[in-house]
Amino acid sequence: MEHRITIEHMNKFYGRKQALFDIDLTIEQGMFGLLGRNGAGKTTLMKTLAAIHKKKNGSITVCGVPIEREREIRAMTGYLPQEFSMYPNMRADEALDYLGALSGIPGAERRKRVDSLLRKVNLDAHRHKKVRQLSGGMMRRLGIAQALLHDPKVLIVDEPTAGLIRRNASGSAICSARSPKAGS
Amino acid sequence: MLFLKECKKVALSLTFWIYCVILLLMFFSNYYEDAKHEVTPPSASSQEFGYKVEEDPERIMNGAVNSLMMEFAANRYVCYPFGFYKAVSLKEKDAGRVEAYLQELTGADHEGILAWIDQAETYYVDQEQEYAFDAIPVDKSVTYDRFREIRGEIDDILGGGSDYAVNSLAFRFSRVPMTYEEAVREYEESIREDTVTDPLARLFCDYTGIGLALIPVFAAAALTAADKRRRMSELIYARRISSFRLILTRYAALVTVMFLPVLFTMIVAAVQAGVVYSGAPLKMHLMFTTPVFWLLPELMTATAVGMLVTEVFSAGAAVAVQGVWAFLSLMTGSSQLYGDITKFGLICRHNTLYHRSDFMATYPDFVFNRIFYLCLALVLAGAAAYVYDLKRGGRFHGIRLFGEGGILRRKA
Repeated sequence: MEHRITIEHMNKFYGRKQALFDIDLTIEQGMFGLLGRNGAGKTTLMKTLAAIHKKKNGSITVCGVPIEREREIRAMTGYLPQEFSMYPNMRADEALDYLGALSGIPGAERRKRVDSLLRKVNLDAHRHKKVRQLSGGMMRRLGIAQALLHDPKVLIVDEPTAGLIRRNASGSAICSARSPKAGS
Repeated sequence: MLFLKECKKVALSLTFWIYCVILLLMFFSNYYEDAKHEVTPPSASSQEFGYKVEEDPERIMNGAVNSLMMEFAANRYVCYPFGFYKAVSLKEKDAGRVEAYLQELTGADHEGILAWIDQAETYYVDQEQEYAFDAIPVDKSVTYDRFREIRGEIDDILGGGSDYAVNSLAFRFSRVPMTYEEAVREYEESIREDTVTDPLARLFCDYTGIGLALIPVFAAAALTAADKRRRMSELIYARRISSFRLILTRYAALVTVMFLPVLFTMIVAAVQAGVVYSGAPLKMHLMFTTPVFWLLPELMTATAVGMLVTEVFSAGAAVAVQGVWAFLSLMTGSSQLYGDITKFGLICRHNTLYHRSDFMATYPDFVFNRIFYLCLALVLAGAAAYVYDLKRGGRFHGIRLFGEGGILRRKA
């Protein structure tokens, strides 16, 4: 299986407005960043790669799978949106458990992964807090944890550092094609 | 298990608790009050024993022709389209058509009709002149079938909802007082046939069904719109689960959790029946089987409409659509609170402990109706899942009614 994302002659429109112009891009295994000013289309490109938006034309393959096979793409992709939020009345561990269930992770494995990820993102002490009680930074870490929950081959994170560091990280975004064996 | 997680989400939502409060208030203020006293057999010493509807062609034809003559003379026809009062005045051409039917029904010519109007007593109601006629004779050559045809056509001329609608004829013009023996028979048939739990269950369903035609839509719409409101749609879209599994699981959770308070009121009603009719033989299972068959399809339909319309338009539109549907269904059947169950009416009514025979006369339509709504609900839920799948893949973004880009936005 190839470990790259290939985009060829891809265009994307919002109604009559063209958001992405003839994108040709190959993202090899490793970390890849998208930099651009506001409105350049970074988020649109990432949503298209996450099978949330539909491209107008061109082709995209993610690890050899055409983007049209949405279910397979979703199974291999972890996505952290720019504005991450969850049901405010859920506890942090409950929120991860719920999203894990939506990713089709079996119950016992899900609980293990939730415990492990909460530790890794340093939220273990706050696992019983309601989502609405979490700070902006904690929410961002929870967002990263949910994106890694189903051990995706590809991790797409939109402005992952917002809320984690003081410096203004606006305009940056990272796509990462991960090896299947790579740990989270 | 995802289903249980969705159930928990529904059960912890504010709209669900508002739904519970409304449902319980309706139950305790309507059914519980009506059912707390034991229904006793008619007493021979009573002066009146109620009325019964009897399809007596002669009585119906005489009553309807007399009534039509009165309304024709005053050119003021009282109608209740969708349950709302409406006084209809006909223009010359339509009045002429009604007169032609009157001539056919009575055998009189134009002069004969005018002569009857001249001879009629007149009086005033709210400054409107009304007429009172002695018995207007019906032409013996007019058959009952032809008479029904004519009444249907007159109802069409009046725009519907008149006393002359064919299905209203017997109810409007052929109600006769019951004798003591008939009242006892009615009591025996209604209360004793399947024990008192059978009529109690019908009355319970009548009251509860009114609420279930509307209030589930609030919870369904609110929970369907929750992902968008919390800006979580994309987070959920990006998960592996199929759209159909997700939406149908959410639908099943909504229906299950919202049926729990109904089940609670069913248990309270059954306990109440057990206490009030203590010692009497009771078929207690009817307090559960009848409501499940009667009410569940309605709850499922309102929930599915809530989900589908919210996915396509918005939560507000879902409440509006279901509100209008429930209201029209309720008002259309408001003139007859029993014996008028149709194949396609959302709300099935039987607001009495009696008239079992009227209910049984429409029983095949009732069974068809409930199965139809059960299937419709599943189709609508499937459609909601399909729309969700389109939105999820970026192939459809919903239809905006108001605001920027809205199809109903007023152009400046």
